[in-house]
Amino acid sequence: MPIAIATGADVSQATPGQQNAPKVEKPKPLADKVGDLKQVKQLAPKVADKPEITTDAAAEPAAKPKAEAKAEPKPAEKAEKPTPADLKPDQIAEKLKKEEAKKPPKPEKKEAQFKPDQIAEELRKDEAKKPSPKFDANQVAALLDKREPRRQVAAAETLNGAPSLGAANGHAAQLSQSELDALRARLIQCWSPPPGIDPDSKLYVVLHVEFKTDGSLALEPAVVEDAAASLGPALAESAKRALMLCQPFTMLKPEHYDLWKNIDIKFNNELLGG
Amino acid sequence: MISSHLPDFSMTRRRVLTLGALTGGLILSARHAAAVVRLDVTQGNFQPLPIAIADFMSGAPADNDTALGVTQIITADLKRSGLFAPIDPAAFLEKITSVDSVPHFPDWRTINAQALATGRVTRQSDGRLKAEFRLWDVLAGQQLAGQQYFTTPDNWRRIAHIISDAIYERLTGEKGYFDTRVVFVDETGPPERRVKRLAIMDQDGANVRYLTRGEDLVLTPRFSPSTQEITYMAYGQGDPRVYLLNIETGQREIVGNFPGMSFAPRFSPDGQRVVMSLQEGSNSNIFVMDLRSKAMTRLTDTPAIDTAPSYSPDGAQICFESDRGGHPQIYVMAASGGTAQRISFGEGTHSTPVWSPRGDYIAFTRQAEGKFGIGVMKPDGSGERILTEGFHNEGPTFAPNGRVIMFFRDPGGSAGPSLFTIDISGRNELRVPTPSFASDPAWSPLLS
Repeated sequence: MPIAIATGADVSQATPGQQNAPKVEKPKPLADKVGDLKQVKQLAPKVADKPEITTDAAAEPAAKPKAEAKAEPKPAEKAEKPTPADLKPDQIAEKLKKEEAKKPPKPEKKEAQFKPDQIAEELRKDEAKKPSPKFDANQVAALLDKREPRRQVAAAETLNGAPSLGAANGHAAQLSQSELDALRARLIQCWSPPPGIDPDSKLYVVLHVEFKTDGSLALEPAVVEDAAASLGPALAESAKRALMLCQPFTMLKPEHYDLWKNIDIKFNNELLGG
Repeated sequence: MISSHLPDFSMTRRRVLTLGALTGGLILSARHAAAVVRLDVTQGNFQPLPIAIADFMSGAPADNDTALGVTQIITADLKRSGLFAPIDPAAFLEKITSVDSVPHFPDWRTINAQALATGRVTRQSDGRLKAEFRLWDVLAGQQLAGQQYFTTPDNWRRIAHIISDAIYERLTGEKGYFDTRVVFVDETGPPERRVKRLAIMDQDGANVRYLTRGEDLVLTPRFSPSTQEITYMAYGQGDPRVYLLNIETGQREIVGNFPGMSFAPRFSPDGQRVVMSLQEGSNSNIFVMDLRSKAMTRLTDTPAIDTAPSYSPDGAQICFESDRGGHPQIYVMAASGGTAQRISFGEGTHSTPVWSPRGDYIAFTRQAEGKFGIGVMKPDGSGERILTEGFHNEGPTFAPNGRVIMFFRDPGGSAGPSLFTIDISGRNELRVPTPSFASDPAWSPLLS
């Protein structure tokens, strides 16, 4: 039985693009406002100057022993830069006793003279005496990355709402989950389900909803599916009322209209409180 | 391991090209045929429905008072149910002048009404009273219901309750309970010498009528499901007797002379039998009596106190209270007797069980840690919920739609008991107005 094996190279050669395809315009970058293109800052790792860390622990410099005791990596935002830590054991002992916290020396630069046992002893003494330091969120904020946020309102010469490659009227691959979540949250607020429904009854209704571009209803929602029960019509009506009451649903973005123009919404009161 | 004959397939360049194009084509079409987005809303936010009840119009100035009265009763009924929020008429923008013309819905949407009721009351030439109403969906802009009724003029309150029931049913999907009555024991006088009289009233507290004079001690009145009869127990000079009383005619009949009876009987759903508990020595057992033949059948035979039986709405089962396990708990057995299954396992003792007319719950009195509570559980014993607790609460009875429970509460001391209602969800506890102290309520079926 003759078997022809197609290698990867064969396949890629077999499906090349057309040689004389029309040139596609180079996709313009996303632009939400007209202005000069702002260069995004380079992300060269740079050690930011760290402010002094002062903790509430009055007695001992609590932060320091912690930093020394743990050889763990520091928070990710801080760029590590080894400082020449020529610290001798007695100097460290001195520092340990001081009130002020210092810049935490980097563990990888510990020298051979350090006597771990002595340090450990000191640390144990300190740990025993000091009260647990209060977690000060502001201090954490001080440690955070001070670089400017990268995503700003993009500016360019002309407005261009389509950041993606491809057709001029292209749209993002899918309706964002946040839009759907916002719609769901709004419906939860607006929907007053019939109180007589037993949550164990699995009673539900699915309404087909057609929207206009401004998020209002194009026509009365239609029941496409329901569980046959005496309270079915009341459930369907309550769901329709919720939709009619809270339109227009402005959280749905007009540029995604094609995707949310028709939605099937299932209403069932599983999480009935009482 | 599946083995199948491989086709004589050579992966020529041409074939690969075709395959590639085909696959590409499939992917393309899948993207364009976008599936409809599906969203699941698994919880809501129950709010009483905002409803506008426009003043009912009157056919002639002589009917003005009746029209106003009807409007007020409908408003009060719907508000008291806890499921509706009638809008203050002072906020209305449109003045309804005809029950036959379509309202101007934007005016009602502006004041946040979701439903609107309009109506008219007219005295007919033959002396009858005609009452008509229309219910409108303000958001959808269409009529939901419309009905007209004819009755004698003095029955105008019942018509108002019937209209309330129609509105309730159309908007909640469940039958209403406003056209009903409650029979209870009216109590007056000091605690050590209470005078107890049988009384009956409309469920909103109106039209109170006394059925006995108060010489005998009366207890536990019960409604017949199908007729205008009630049974009750009276302790006269001799042994306690069970009476059958026709409310309309006032005719009274002795059902039986049963020494040692502690609870009045309850009717079977078809109204043909009554079930009761009879004391035998130090224990009591459950018996059923056919009302026509007066034949008695024993249903339980235990050296325990079996009492307070209640039929399921389909008549197939009976729930009752028994202390055969040591403390009063609730049991369920077939209506013909036989093995009884215990269903109450929560904390404390469970007593006075009563089966909901909807069949989905059994209500009871629970006593735990010195507190009395009214609760519900499913007929298999699951889902036990206490609706209210604290004072001496006792004796639940269901409204005919199974959504509201009435009970009595005795605060103790020199004060006496009062009647209360509560929604099956535990919401909306309200006091029922009675002329004096009141206990042992029983709710009638729908009168219409």
